[in-house]
Amino acid sequence: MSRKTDIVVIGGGVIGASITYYLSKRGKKVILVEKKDFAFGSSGACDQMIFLQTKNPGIHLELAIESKKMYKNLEKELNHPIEFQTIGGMVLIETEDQMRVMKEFVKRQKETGLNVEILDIKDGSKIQEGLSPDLVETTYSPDDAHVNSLELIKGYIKKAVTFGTEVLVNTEVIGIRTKNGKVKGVETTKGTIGCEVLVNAAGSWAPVIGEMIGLDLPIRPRRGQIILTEEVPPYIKHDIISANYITAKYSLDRSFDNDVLGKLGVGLAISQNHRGNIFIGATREFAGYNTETTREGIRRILKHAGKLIPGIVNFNIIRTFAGLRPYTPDGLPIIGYVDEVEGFFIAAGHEGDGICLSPVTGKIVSELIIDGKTFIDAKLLNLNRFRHLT
Amino acid sequence: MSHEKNVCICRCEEVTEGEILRAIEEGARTVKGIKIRTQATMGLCQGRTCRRLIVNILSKHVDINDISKLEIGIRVPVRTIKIKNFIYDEGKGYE
Amino acid sequence: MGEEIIKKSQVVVIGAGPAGLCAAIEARKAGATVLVLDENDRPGGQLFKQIHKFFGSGKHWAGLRGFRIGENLLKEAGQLGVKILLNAEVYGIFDDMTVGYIRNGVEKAIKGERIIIATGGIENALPFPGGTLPGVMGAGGVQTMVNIHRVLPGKKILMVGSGNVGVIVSYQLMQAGAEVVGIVEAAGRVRAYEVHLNKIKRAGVPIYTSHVVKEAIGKDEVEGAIIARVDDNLNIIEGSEKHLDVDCLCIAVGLNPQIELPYIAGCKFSYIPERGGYIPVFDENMETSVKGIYVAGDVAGIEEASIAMEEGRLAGIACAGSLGLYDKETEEKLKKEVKKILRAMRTKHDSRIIHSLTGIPSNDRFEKGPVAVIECKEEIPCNPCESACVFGAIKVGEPITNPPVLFEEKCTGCGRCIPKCPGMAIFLIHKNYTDKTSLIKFPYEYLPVPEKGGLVSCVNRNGEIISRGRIIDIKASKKDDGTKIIAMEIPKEYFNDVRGIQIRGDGI
Repeated sequence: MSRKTDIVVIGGGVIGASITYYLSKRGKKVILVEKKDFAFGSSGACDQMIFLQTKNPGIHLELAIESKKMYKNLEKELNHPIEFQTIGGMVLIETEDQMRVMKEFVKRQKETGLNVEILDIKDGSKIQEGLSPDLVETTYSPDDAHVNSLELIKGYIKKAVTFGTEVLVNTEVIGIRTKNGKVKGVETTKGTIGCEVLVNAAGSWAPVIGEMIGLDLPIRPRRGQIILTEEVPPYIKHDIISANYITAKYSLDRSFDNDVLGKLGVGLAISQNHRGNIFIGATREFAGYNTETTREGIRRILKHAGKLIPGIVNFNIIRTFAGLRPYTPDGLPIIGYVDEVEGFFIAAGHEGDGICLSPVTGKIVSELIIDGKTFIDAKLLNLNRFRHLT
Repeated sequence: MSHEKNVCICRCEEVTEGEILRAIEEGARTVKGIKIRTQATMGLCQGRTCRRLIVNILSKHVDINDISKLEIGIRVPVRTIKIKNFIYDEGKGYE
Repeated sequence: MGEEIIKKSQVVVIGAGPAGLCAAIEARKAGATVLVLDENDRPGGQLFKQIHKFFGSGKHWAGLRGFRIGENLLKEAGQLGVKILLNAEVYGIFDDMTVGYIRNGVEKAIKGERIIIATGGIENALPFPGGTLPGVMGAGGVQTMVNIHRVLPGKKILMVGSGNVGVIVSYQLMQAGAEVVGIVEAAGRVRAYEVHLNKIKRAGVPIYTSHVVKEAIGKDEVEGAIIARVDDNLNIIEGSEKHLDVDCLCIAVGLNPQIELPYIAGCKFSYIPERGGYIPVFDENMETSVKGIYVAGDVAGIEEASIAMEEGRLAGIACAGSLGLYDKETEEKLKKEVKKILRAMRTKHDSRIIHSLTGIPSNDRFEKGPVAVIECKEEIPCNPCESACVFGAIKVGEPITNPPVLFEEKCTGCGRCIPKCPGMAIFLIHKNYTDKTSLIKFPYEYLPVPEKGGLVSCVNRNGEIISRGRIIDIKASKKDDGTKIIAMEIPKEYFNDVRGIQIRGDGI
C-alpha cells in the first residue's frame, strides 16, 4: 500500500497533533503516523499545566507566553472543547533559602512580562484553602493555565482532517527512505509513504526515529510519576507547585540528579481538572522507558503533598501513572531541520513543557517549513546547539 | 449481549456501547484507545466493572488472546488509598 | 526522610479465602514464617457467606457448610501460628517483592521471599437497558447481603444466569423469605449442577432457558423486567417478550479471576474463557511467570472451593520446598498427593454426562422395605454419601467424580445418608408403609418448619403440587447443622413422584 503526501508527521501526541494542524491549516497535505494510538506517550500521562511561572526567564518564558496567547482562541478555532482555563498559579515556598531564590526568580520573571507577585502565606490561604500554616510564602500569577491534553489532541486532529489530513494509527515507522541526502519517504507497517518533508515529533521516542538516519539525538526519557484522586468538588482553585520543583528542574548545572534531594527529583505539582480529579505529581527520574510507579515515588510525592496542602489528605486516590518526559541537556525542545539529511525536521524534547508549548511549536514548525523563518531566532532551538556534545 | 446500542457499558462515566463501537471505528484497537476517545474506565472504579465488557466488544475486532497487546490499563493502587495513610510519625516506626 | 526498614516474611499470602488459608497452612507446617493479608474484617473469603453444604471429598470436609469449613481452616491456621492481618488492603505489589497495604489508616509494606496471590474472583457485569437502575445487583453481592447482613435485596427476584452461583443464591433467597419469580438462562439448558437445579425445581421456580433480559423497567428503581426468548444466535425473537413483576434483578453471569495484582506484578496471562477469562500462566507448582510469585484459587481459574483449597495447598508446599524447608523427596511426595486429588476432582469424561440411574433402586427393592433413593447422576467431585453409609450400600470410589451407586441389597433404609448429601439429592422411600400410603423422608432447610401431624401440599420434582401429605416426624439433629429430616406420609401412587412440600404453603 503506497501513499504520497507533502509532509509526514511522526507522533500522535500534543506536539505531532499541533504541527499537523498548523501545517494543514496553511494548505499542506499531511499524513500523521502514530505507532500506537493518540496520546499513548507522554501526552496521555501528564499533568495538564500551562505553568508560565516555571519557565526560565528568557527564550523559554517567551515561548510559553506566546503559546498561552495562542491557547486563548484555540477552542473556538478548533471548534472542540479543550477545557482551557486560565486558573492562575501558585508556587509554594517552604524555606528561607527558597524565599531568597524565588525573590530573584520572580524579579526576572517580571522583567520578561509575567504578571506575578509574592504573597505571605496568610494572604495565600485566602485564595487557596487547605494550605499548611508552616509555609513561608507563596507566589501568585493570574496568568497560569491548564488544558485537557486528550481533548486538545482530538481537537487538533478533527480540524486537521477537515483540511485534508490523513491520520494513520497503529502504524509504526520502520524505516526512512532517502536519496542523495534527501528524504524521499517513510516505510511503515502499513506500507510506504512518499514525502518531501518528515517531522519527527515522537517525543521520548524521537531518538528511535533519529537512529534511522544515523542521528544520535540527545533526548532521554525522564519519568514522572503522577498520582490521581477521585473526582471531588472544586478544591484546588489555582494550579500549585512547590518551589523546589523549580530547583529540581533548573539546578544550575543540571547534575542535581546525583544529590540527595534530587535523586528522585521530587517537586510538587498539583492541579484539578474539569471533572474534579486532582493530579499530584511528580518525580523526575531516569528509568529508561519504564512507566511503572514505585512505592518510593508514591510515598515521597504524597508525603510532600500532605505536608504542603493538608487539606487534601482525605481524598481517595484511584490511580497512579507515569509519563516519560523527553529530556534535553538544556531543558529546551529541539526544533528545526537537521544538517545530515534534507527534509528531516525534528520537533521533540519538550521535557514537561509539551502541553504548554504545543501551540507555539506548531506555529514555529509550520513557519519554518513553509516560510523558512519564524518569529524567534531559529538557531536557539536547532539541534546544532548540541553538536559539541557528540 | 446487549440489544440496543445505547446500553451503558461504563457506568461510572456513562459510556454506551454505541460510543465504544464508534471509537473502534475511529481506529481504537486497545482498551486504552477506547479510554482516550470515550473516557470509559476513567471513573471511580477504574474499569473494574466495564473492562471485561470492553474487552468482549473489542474481541469482535481484534484478537484478544494476548493481553499484553490490549493496554487494559490496570495500575497501582488496586484499592483506594489516601495521602493520610502515608503521613505518620516517623518516630513511631513501622508495622 | 529517614531510611525505612521494611519487614520481611518468608511467605506473604494475599487473600484469606480457602486457597489462601490452605496455602498459609501448608507453608507454615513446613516451618516458614507466613503472613496472610486480607481486606475483609473476617477471614474465609467466599466461605463465610456460603451457608449451603459443600461438595468435595469426605476427607476434606465435604458436606460441611461453607462457613464451617472457613472456621475449621482458621482454627488450623491459628494453631499453627499463621499470622493473619485483617482489614489489610493490599494496594500494590512492587519490584523486589514488596507488598504495599493499608491497615488502620496507615500505609505499610512487607517484603516476601515468596508471594502467593489468592485474591479470588470478581463478578461479571451484564449490560442491558435499565441495567443501571437501583435493584439490579450482582449475585455475589446479594449473597453477602442476605447471608451475612440478613437484608433482603427485594421481595420478588429475577435471577439472571443459571450457573451454580445463580441457582444457589436463588435457593438462599428463598430460604430467606424472598420469592424467586424466575431464572433466565440464555443457553438452551441450565448450567448449574443438576442437584442444585433440582432443589429450585422442587420449589416451583420457573426456569426460562433460551431467554434473556431485554430490559429492566422502573423510574427510580426496578419495578419490573421484560424477558424474551432468543434464537440459536442469541438474537431476540420478536413477539416473545414477557413481563415479570419483580423488584430486583440478580445478575449471576459468571465470575472472572481477580487479576489486578498478578497484572501489576508483571505476570503473563492466557485467555481461557472456560476458566473465566484471563488467567495468570502458572506451572505445576502454581508459580507464575514471575519468579517467586504464585497463584491459587479462583484467581488461577474459576473452579470450586474444594479445588481452590487444593491449589492453595500445592502452592504452599511448593513455596516451602523452594525455600529449602522441605527436601526434594518430601516436597515431591506431598505435591504428588495434592495433584492426585486435583486430577480426580477435575476428571470428567464429558462434563455434562448423565449416567444411567445408578442410585435408584429396582422395583423389586422398593417392595421389600424402606430404601434410599439417590437422585444424583452427574459427575461432580463429591463423595460424602459414601462414608455416610455404615452398611457399605453407597459407593462412589475413585475418581470421586463418579456418580454414586446404590447397592440396594445392603441398604437397610436407616436414612443416615439423607442429611449428608450436600446436594439434598437423597430420599428415603418406604413404599409399603401402609396398604394405601408410602412414607418419604427428605431433607428440608426452609423456615418455618411444618407442624408435626399437620397436612401439607406435596410437590413433584418440578414443584407441581400433586397431592396432600401428613407430616409424621421431623428430626433436627445437631450434627446435621440445621438440615431437618422430614418424614411424610403420602398416597402410595405418588411414591415415585413426590419429592418435597410446598414451601410456606398452606394447602391446595
